[in-house]
Amino acid sequence: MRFKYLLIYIFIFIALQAKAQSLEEAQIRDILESVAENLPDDYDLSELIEVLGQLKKHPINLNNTNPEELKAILFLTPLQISNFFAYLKENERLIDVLELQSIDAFDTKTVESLLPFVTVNESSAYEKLSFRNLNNFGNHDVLLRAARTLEKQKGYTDLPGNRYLGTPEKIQTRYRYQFETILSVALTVDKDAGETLMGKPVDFYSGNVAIFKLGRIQKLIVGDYALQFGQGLTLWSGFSFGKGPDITGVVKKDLGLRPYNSANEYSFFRGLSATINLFKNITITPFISYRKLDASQQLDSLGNLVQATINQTGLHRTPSEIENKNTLTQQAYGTVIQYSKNDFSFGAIGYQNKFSQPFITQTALYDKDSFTGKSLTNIGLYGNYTYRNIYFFGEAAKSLNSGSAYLGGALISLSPQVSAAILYRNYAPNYHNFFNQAISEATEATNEKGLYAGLNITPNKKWIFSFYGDYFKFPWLKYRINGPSDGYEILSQAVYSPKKTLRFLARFKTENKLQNNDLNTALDVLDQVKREGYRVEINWQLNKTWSFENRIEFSQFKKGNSSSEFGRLIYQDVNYQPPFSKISANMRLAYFNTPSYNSRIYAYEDDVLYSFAFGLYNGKGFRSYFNIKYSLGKKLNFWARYGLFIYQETTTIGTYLDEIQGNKKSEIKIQMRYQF
Amino acid sequence: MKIWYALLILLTPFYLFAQNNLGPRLTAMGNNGAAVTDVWAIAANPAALCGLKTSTFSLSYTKHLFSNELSTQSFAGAIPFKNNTIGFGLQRYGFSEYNQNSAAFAYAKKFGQFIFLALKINYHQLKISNYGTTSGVSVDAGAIYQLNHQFTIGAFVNNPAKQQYNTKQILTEIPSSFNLGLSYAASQQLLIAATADKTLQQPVSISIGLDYKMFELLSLRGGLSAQPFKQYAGFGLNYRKFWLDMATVYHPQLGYSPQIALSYAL
Repeated sequence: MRFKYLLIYIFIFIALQAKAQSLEEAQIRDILESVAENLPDDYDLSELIEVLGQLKKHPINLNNTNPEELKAILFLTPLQISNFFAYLKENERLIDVLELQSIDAFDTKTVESLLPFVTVNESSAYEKLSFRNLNNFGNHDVLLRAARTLEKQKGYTDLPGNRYLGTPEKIQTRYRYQFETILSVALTVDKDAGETLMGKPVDFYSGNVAIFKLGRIQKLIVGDYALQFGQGLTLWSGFSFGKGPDITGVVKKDLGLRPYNSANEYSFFRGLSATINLFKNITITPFISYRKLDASQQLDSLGNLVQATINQTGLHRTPSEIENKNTLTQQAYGTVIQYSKNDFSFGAIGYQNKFSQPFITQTALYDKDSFTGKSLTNIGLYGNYTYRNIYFFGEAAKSLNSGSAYLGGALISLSPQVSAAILYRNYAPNYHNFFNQAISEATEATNEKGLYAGLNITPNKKWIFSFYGDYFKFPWLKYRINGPSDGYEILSQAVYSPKKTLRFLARFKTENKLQNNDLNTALDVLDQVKREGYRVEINWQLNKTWSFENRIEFSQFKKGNSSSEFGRLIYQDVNYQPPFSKISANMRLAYFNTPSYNSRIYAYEDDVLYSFAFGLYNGKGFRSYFNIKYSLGKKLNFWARYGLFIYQETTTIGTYLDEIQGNKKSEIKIQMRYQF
Repeated sequence: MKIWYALLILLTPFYLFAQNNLGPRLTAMGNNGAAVTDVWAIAANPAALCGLKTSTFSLSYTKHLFSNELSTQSFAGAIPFKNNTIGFGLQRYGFSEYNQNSAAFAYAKKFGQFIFLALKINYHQLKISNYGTTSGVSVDAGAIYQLNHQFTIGAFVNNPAKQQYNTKQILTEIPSSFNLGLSYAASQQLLIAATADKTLQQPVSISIGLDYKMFELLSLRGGLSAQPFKQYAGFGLNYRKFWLDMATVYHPQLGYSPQIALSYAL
């Protein structure tokens, strides 16, 4: 009998986990596709789910937690977090995790998804801390990944002048050590495709040692770290979410100081930082960082080295890229003070960047307000407050001697079925900040005003509707927009899941902006540019082993009076995941046809663990990929991926150094993970 | 200066302004009300007047901020008796030299518990000083179907017979439009509504909005519409039998048009 119950329990647990994972994955997919246009290729988004992987192993103790810890769980909204602490204050402690269901704004779905990541059991990790335990109970995690494009790209041939000096392999190695929730060590080593290892062991390395919850010291990190505060207007390094079908995503959940675990080579700090509990409710996070950046430098009239911009790609493949590597040093130091009490939290930020060489004005007129000089001081105030069912948030920021920026908004749970978000933003064209990730239509949160309003409706368990509209204005010129301009974006989406194994999705998105017209007139006239996307998607599960996804997407692009062009994408995904099997696999077969790059379509692609990819479908042809995972016991896992593009009606693929002769582009990737 | 207003009105497609005024509550909800009960349903879908339990009267004033002189004044009233409701409306739009006026009378009837139907007759008058006056009559029809206590569907056709002003010399038309609306009462406090509006010779306009009764005293409203893209916001204050409602429309090119109304429900 007992055995039977145990089995049932195991099945429920697996089902719950699978569900949590799919909710998480669906959310990441949505977010990725919506930010794809503004992210560079190969952007490492592994940090997004790595946190959750850790939480599964070391669940958060709900009776001894803080808002920052809960913010790491992607699908919790700020209002839910705030309500949770209000509940905890009233009831002192939770006796069972399922008690969460009685808290406002927590629906069954959220609670189910949350279960793997939280607990109510007390145990102080420091009591167990000893050298022997560090070895016995700590988790080591080693991950090796290698990938390359099989066809020869032009940059690897014997070109005179600029060419790729290294090999086409992309290699990444990461090591993580975690002891309960109090100690972690991380090391990431990375070589991009085309980079050479001549004369050095690695091209990029990043690492840190972090200690948590040690008396008054909440966090202490030596090495590479990220800082994320408020709504990202003053101080936010690394990735941040933007507008997406989940409207609550416009409210940023700041995680404060965190270890930096990504392979992106630009947006992080290197040095020392700690979050210390000064008094009750008040924490202080001082930080100091010293690191080198890539910049293309030139001599000014006095013979001094200057630069106009920083190169953020982290690629060091060609002689000029190698020459620009680590040419600029950046020193950053500052402090964040934060007061949080129940439903109110407020913070102040002040920090300074000092560069070894000064920035000069950029040549383009639209960049005339860009940062110049050697030193930049940023200050900012942020806060949030929960009143009944409304979560207010806002941030105001200023770069000293130049512009200011602010944003404010509210997240409202109008009824148990309906939530709404509203956000107003106003960023001056001369607001300067090297760590600004606030919500914006443009890639950078400057030179923009806008009003966003969104609505999520879940009338019952089967339906979810989302809408948002965003109106924005660019007071100063922008790239390819030689005049002040405005535009708007509207998204509406309906998701219908009649049963657990079946899900339909329909989405419509339209975006209208202004852009220079294509005629070379002496005076630039702005043309209306309209981009629309229509998507229909079906997810269905045949049985416990096989599941499928089909999608059809149309894109429309229309500029000025010229006629519309239509792009289309259709694909079939097949997922093979037998329960308790060592092998799982998935594949895609897609056909795409877009008349030009203007009507390109982005779609999320499955990849090896911790590697995220969004496919860019442009041109005409077929796309296929195949992923396979093999588990050799619990500790050792292998992944392999093969992806292929076959284009029609073309003889070369790619541009400049990435050009391939022929109409085929294929990539292989292998990965190994060993946990002990 | 006046010549500019005249030109603006005559050269810009008139539906931008002289749309039937839906009162500040429906305006703040994205100018959408094909399935919403309100005294201003006289302009959005008279069949929805059947939802009113008591006689209601409302007076509204709209200012179009791109001009100091241009305004819309309107009045709406509804009197329910047994299974019937009669409604009437008056609207005046323009300035001293240019006026568009209309008067409407509607009769709405409940057929059973869930179906409401209505007919409406409009008298339109256009007055341009030094040019003269012309008038026209049009007929509208509306229907409401209550699916359950949460969902309501509404349909409203405006001037389906394409009746026009008596004079052929003017280009201004009495618009013909078809509206399909859905409203969702998510809770006692919250109403969400959407309308698709097809006016002849115009693209389909979709609008969505909500009305949130934060307290007994205060309601907050907001909405959006696409084609043309406009944003809407407003609030309502309720004290006993009186309602004070405010709304504003924001159009990227034409700016704000604030509106205020005072209503009294017996």
